Amino acid sequence: MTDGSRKPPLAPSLLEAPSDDVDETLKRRVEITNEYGLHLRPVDLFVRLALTFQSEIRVRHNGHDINGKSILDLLGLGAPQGTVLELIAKGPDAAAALDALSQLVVSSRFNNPEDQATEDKD
Amino acid sequence: MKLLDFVVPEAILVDLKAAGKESTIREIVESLHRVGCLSANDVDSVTRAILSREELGSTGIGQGVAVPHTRHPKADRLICTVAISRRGVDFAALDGEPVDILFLLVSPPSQPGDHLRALEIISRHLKDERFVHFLRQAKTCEQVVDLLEEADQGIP
Repeated sequence: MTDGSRKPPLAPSLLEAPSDDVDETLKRRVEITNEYGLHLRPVDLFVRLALTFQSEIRVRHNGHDINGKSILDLLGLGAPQGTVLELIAKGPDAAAALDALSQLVVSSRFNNPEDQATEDKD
Repeated sequence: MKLLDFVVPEAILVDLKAAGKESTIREIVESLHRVGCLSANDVDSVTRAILSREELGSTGIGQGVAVPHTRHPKADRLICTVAISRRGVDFAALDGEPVDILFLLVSPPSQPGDHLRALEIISRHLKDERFVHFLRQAKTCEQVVDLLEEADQGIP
């Protein structure tokens, strides 16, 4: 009998090497430079782009922590020009998502102040 | 700022007749004219401006809600009204669903802050499923006003 020498079986998962596809969590700060703030059209562009990534996208501002893939959440921030938002991406493509989203925020289409064709003055 | 600071209660429509996107927008703009918020001459121009804005991207923001809007020089203050469609309108919304609740906004170009703040307030209330549910059930203008008042009191 070798009762005393018996070791508890090790769970196989604990023996495996750590997988290299662990989700990354990355953060980046971006400033809203659109003169009308984060109104519907830039929000729409942001959400459409965010939805192309697998990663979870969160946006933090002023104590709010909201879903960066939700139009209502982003519009609900009511963020005017000059607001600094913290973008947080968590997932396999977090770095690519943050790169793309921060490039969008400074792009001309995001900042185009004209959101209508009419130029009526009077 | 509260919903009833910019929603014009008399212009609320609880049973839109129109079925298409363009006719729906026109019907709501005409309602704003009917209560004296816009002159007859401006109905066409405001309707066209809102439709041009829609061409840049639908304002159907999901869950059956749209916020068609324009910044228009003829608005001397932010005006908005609520309209409910019983049959639903194809608005090319992001989620593809027909729209049955509309908040239509016309704001002066000189006051971008008010426009942003109105969108913020509307969005925050639309996240409340109970609010949206009861809005959909509302049969009279007064019921909509009661809901808006209740919502206004709920948010500090």
